[in-house]
Amino acid sequence: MTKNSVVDTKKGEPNDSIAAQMSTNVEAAPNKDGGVLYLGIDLGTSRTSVASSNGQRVTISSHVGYPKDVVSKKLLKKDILFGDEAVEHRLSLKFYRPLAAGVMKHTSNEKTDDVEGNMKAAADLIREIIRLAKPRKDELVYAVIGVPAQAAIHHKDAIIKAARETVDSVMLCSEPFSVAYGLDMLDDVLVIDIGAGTTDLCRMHGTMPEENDQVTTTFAGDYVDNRLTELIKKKYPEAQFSIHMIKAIKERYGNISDTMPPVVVELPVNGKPTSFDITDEMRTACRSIVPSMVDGLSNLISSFDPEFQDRLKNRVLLAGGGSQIKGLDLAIEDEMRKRLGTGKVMRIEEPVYGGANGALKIAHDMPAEFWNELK
Amino acid sequence: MLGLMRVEFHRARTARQPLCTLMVAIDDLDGIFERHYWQGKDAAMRASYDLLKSSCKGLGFFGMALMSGDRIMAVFPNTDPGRLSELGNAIVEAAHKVTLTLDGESVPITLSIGASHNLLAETNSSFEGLVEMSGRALFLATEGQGNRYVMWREAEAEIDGLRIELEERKKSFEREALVLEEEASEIGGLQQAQLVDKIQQLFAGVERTDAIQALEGQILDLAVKELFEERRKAVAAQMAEHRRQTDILEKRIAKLTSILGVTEEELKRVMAMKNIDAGVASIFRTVQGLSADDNQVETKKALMSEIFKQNLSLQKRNAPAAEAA
Repeated sequence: MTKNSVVDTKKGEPNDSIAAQMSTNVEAAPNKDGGVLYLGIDLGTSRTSVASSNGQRVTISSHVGYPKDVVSKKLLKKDILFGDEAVEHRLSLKFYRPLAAGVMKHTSNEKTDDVEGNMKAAADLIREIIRLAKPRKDELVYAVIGVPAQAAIHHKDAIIKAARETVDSVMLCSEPFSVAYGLDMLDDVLVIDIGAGTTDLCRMHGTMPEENDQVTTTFAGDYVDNRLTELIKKKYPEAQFSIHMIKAIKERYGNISDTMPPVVVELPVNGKPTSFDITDEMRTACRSIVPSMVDGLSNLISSFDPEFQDRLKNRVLLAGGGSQIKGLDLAIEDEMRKRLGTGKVMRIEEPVYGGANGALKIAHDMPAEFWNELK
Repeated sequence: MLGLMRVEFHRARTARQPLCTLMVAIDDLDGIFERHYWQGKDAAMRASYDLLKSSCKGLGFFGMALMSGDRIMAVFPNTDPGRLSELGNAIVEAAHKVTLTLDGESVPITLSIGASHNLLAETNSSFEGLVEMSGRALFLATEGQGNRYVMWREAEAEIDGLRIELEERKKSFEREALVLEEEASEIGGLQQAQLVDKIQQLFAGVERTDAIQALEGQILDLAVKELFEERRKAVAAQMAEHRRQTDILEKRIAKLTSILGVTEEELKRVMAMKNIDAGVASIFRTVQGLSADDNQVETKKALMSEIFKQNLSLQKRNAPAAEAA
């Protein structure tokens, strides 16, 4: 735990004696008079991103792996692997995707091995993403972490506990809210944050969104992956692939429009790479999340002040990694027009960093006394 | 300049000539920057650059240098690593005499210098590899409390030197053994002849009978055998001494190699444990808070307050549980 320094040594003053150095090492937490580093973190199912006030912006896939045995540890030369490196070596690892379904992957408080493992993986992932932001030892580190809108209370506890090991003060906020805050769109806006595990819809009306302002569904990136897997298996039963391959294909070719270019991918059949046309399957799988999204939008719009419903319909923000599916904004607009009469969807400029940027802005705007209170 | 350095590196590799690089850093440059800002950092870097230049002139080194960020890199073609140590140590020493005057304050500086040369397999393949090794040597210098010159892989070079020495000694021992045997046989032949003459002289004044002649023959055989045995023992003792010296050298090499391996492992572990990257400084020195000029300042204030309240209740809820744990 890093707190303010207890050592009162002037910086730059020579202090050569070994005894002096030893006493400093034993007692000292680092002297944090070097500035304030703000971190905005978007803790996602698929990707975890950080934006910080020293200009560092990093995103890693939310995978954590621990070598299964001594042999793999010796081979990999690491105790923990993160992100794509973990995915690449997953066969030699005890492999975790700790934030599956948008929240920490456990459904009960029972301390089974998997729950413990996922909690540890989540904590390690948070530590790693903070490390990647390159905080200096002499700086106070204040972090705002965006979590799914309806994350359970014990998930929030676990996130705070993990973060407090590496930062001086931490706050959580809902992901879609941080996206809207980052864009200064606080009034009469609907945010759709499409992650891998969940799609969060949030209605902003100038105050902090409450529970009835937010809708979370599991029709998100993972759902598209599973749907695409089913469709390809059905059409090409001989094709061999893994869910990671499907995810990579979706991220590269994800498209929803009727005039999309053909999607021809190579998948192995009995070890031999074979070309498959999956254009229709891709379109169908990507389109499958639209109706539920518009259902959610419809609920949030219809329960809003009638005078401002039209304004809300025309200010829909599309964010999150899933928003990179080409043509998704137009498909939602079409569906909104059919069901709600009108609709205007705006894609945010940086889908991957939208949440992290917003969280960083919140961290920046938070007064000092609030940070101090939470230390 | 970097292009020119690269050209020199390839030229040295083609011509099989030694080439060395130096990486110079000012100790506690961050401290100077914090106290005296860019002007201070710039003055310190320039002073170090001038020091490098003057030291090279003074000691007759010819090379090229460039200043990049918080480091100075220099390349010295056709320079033996042993000679470069002279320059490196001279610069470290000379830095002790440099005192900058920044904002009316006298600021002494010390330098850390890392060096590498192209005579090792790992540094001979690419210019980047050579520069990386001098960077690592600089890291070792700064981690060793700075104010020092470190040549990359001096230990390994020393072991290589020992290996060469061992090979040379083995060859020289073989040569010596041959010479010894030749000498022994020559000397032995001479000694044998002299001994035979002396014994024969002893028997010259004696009346020759069959028994005496047989006795003379036996004495001569015995003397020659003894002489040969003595000679063999002397050569064996000398060869044993040579073998002992070879063994000592081999054991020394084995021990040094093992120590180097352990040291490298330890270094890796320490490098992994320590956050080598000091991090990137935030652009903010203090907590910012909302700007009064913000168009939505009141709305945002309320939102910040609400976020804070939610987090406070969440974290207060956790506090008793954490204390109990």
